[in-house]
Amino acid sequence: MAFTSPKNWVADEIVVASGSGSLNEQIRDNLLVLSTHTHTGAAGMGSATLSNVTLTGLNTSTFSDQSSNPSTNGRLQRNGAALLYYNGSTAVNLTASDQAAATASMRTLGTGATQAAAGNHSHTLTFAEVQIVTDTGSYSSWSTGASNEEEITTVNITPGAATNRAVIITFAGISKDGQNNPGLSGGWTIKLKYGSTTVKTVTGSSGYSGSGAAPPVMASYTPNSTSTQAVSATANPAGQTWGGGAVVIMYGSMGAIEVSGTP
Amino acid sequence: MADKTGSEQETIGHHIRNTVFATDVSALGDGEGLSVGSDIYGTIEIWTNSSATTTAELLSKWASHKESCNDGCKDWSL
Repeated sequence: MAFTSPKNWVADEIVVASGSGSLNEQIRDNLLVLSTHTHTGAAGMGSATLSNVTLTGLNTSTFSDQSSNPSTNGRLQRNGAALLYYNGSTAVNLTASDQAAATASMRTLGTGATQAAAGNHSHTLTFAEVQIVTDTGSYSSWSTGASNEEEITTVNITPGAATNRAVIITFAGISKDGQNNPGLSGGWTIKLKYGSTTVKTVTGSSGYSGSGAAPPVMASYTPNSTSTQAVSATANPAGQTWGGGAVVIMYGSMGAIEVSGTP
Repeated sequence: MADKTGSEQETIGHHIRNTVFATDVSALGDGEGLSVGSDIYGTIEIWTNSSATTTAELLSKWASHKESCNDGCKDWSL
């Protein structure tokens, strides 16, 4: 039985029981069609496929098992107990956890290769000494009033790994060299260099002396290279308060310790 | 923050020692020193064995100066 398009009623019409335009046709038969029809897609019957629909306030949605993975872009589909989404290239299993590292999925907490680390996890760092290199003594000298930068100590280091840390320590000490004290309150500038990179600058150093007037100059640096480099210290007396002597000598010695760290 | 060059390290060291601590440097006695360390990572360290002031006082003095400094101190930290 098909749905009959409702007629337009006009004044003074006679109502009949059967036939075209009758009450049975217009009301009974059409109500029967509406209460028993299936969604065939034919005109007035509705379709089993909905498109351009916005659902709001949806309480639950139950997927029937399609026994296969989706292969249409943007489709969500159940295969067995798994719910999968096709992203255009892969059917992503939304219900599986700990999938391969390059596959998006839920992750359980743990230390496995495909698990996620807990937000409160911690690492225990361990450090090891790789090597120590030293220069036990070099110097440069300056005449009164000089203001040039000169190297006072240097040693080569070849890091075992580019990410290791080099800790550099330098002792720089002034010698009167038979002259008046050139002024321990003066302004020596000491620089620690790794290759051509200045890692640390100390301004106003008075140099290390027997009375301990200044601490050693220390720095640490990660070279990001395993090539051999010179670790050096330079001194410059520019701004120094000269004490009247003709020559001043700055002695230097240094050591560099390479340390590796493992998380 | 970009690494500090040797020139930048030297410039800030001279600024702090000769401008911020000028009074303290002029008050140093025999055997006393006041130095400012500056490194590639933008860290400042201050040392003195002055009998007239302490390293802690100098650190506080520089921290106060840094707030209103227009000579680059704001790009460095302890």
